Amino acid sequence: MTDIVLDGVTRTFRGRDSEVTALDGVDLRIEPGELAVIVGPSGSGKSTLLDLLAGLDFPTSGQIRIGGEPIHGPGLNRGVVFQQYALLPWRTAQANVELGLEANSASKAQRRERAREHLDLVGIADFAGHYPHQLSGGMRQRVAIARSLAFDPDVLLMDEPFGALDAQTRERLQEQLLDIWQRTGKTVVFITHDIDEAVYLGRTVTVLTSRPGRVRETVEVDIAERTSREDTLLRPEFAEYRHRIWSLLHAAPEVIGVG
Amino acid sequence: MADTLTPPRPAASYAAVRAGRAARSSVAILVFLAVWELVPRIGLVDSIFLPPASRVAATWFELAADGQLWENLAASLARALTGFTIALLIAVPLGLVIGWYRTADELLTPLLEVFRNTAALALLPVFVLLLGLGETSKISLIVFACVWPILLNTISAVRTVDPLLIKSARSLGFGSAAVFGKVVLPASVPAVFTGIRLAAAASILVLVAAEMVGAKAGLGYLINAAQYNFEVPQMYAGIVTISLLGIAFNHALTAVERRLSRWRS
Repeated sequence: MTDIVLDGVTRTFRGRDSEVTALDGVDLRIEPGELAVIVGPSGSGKSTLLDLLAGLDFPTSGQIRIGGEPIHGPGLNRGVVFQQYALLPWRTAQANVELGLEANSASKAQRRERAREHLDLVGIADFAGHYPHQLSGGMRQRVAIARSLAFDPDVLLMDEPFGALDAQTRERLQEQLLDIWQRTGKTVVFITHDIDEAVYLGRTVTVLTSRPGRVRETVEVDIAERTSREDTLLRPEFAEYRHRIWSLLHAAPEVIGVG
Repeated sequence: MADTLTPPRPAASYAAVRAGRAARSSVAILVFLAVWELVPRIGLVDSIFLPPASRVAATWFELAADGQLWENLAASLARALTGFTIALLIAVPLGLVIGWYRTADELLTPLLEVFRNTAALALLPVFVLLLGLGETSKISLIVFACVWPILLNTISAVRTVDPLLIKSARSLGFGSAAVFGKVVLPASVPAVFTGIRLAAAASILVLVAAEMVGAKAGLGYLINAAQYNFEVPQMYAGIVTISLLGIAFNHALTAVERRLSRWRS
C-alpha cells in the first residue's frame, strides 16, 4: 500500500522567448490503494504531472514522494500506461508483457509464467502469440495494462489510456479496470479529460486549471452502491458529481495578471 | 437471395489466379525480348552491333560452358561482396552511434551529405592515383560507394524511432544501453535495410566501372575486352549477367529483410 504526496510541485519549461509554467504549486495527496482521477482541460499539465510521477521528468521546485520516498527516476514500483499503447510492434503480446519483467532478475520461465498470468487477468490469454498490429485498439491497451501490472508495481499511472478507443470498448475497459483495481488493491492515478469517465472511475477526482496547471479542487466521489455500470450511471449522485466537476472545469479562469 | 451467394472458390482457381499474376509480371520482359530479337532480324539495327537476343543467349551458354563466365563472375562477386561487407561493418555501427548521439549527428551529417552526393565514379581516378590499379583501389571504391547510403539511412533510422517507445522503455527503468538494445536497434531494422539495398545497387554500378580500368578478370573486364575484340555477342552476354547479378543481390537482401521483419506480415 503506497501513498503519493505532491508538495508544491512546479514545473516550468523554457520556451523560445518566455518561460512556460506547466504546473504551478500543485499540492495533492493520494491515499494508499486509492483510485485517483485527475481531470483537466488541455494545457493543464496533466501529462507533465504523469511524467513527473513516472520519474521521466523532474519538478522545477517542490517534491513528490511515493510511499514516503522522493522520486529519483523511473522505477518498477510504478507502472505507466500510455494512451498510444507503446507496444513494441516486433514483439508478440506475450513478449511485450515480458518486457517489464526483463528489467528485474526474473528467470525466463518465471517471466513467461507471469506474462501468461497477466494476459489472463486482462482476458486476452488466447492472443498471447499475436503481434500488436493483429490486435484491436482495446486489446492492445489490455496488453499494455498487463505489461504494467506484470512486474507488480505499487502504483499504476494511466495517461488517458482509453482516449483513443471507441465508446463501447472504452466502457468495457473501464469496468475491467475497476475490477482489476478492486482485486489488486493498487494505487491508481488515472488522467483523463472525459468527465463521465472521471466520475465513473474516480474515488477522488482532482480538477486542474489550465495554463498554468493548478489544483482547483479535489472532489470525493461517494456513490453508495456501484453494483453495475448502468445502476451507477443512473443514480442521482452521479449526475450531481458530473455537474459539479463540469462546473469546476468550466468556471471562469482565474485572473493571473498575464498580459 | 441465398442462392445468389458466390460459392467458395475452388483450389484450382487459386492456382489460375497465381498463374495469371505470373503471366502479367513477365509479359513486359517477354515483349522486350521479342523486340530485341526482331529489331536486328528485320534490319532496323545492324545485327553486328545489336545481335538478336537468341544469339546473345547462345553466346552466354557458350561462355558458361567453357567456364569463362564463372571465372569473371566469381571475380566480380568477390570484389562486390568484399566491398559491400566492409562497408556494412563500418557504416552500420557508425550510423547507430551517430544517430544515438544528437551532437554527433548535428556535427557530422552536413559533411556526410557532401560525401554522399559526390559520385563515387568521379573519384575513380583519385582512388587509382592513391591506391594503384590493383584490387585495393577497386574494393575501396566499392566500400566508398556503399558506405554513404547505409550510414545515412542508419542515422535517420535511429533518429526516427518512435519517441513514445523509448519513453515507455525508460519508464520501465531501463538504462540507455538496454533501451538501445531492446527498442532502438530492432526499430531501426527496416530503415537500415533500405540503405543496405541502395548500397547493394551502388556496389554493382561502381564495380563494373572499376573493372573497366586495369582489371584482368571480372564482368566489367569481360564487357570491355569483348568490345575491344569486337566480340559483340559476348559483350551483351556480360551485360545481361550483370543485370542478373544485380537482381539476385536484391532478391537475397529482400529475403533476409523478410526474415528479420516477419512480425510485419
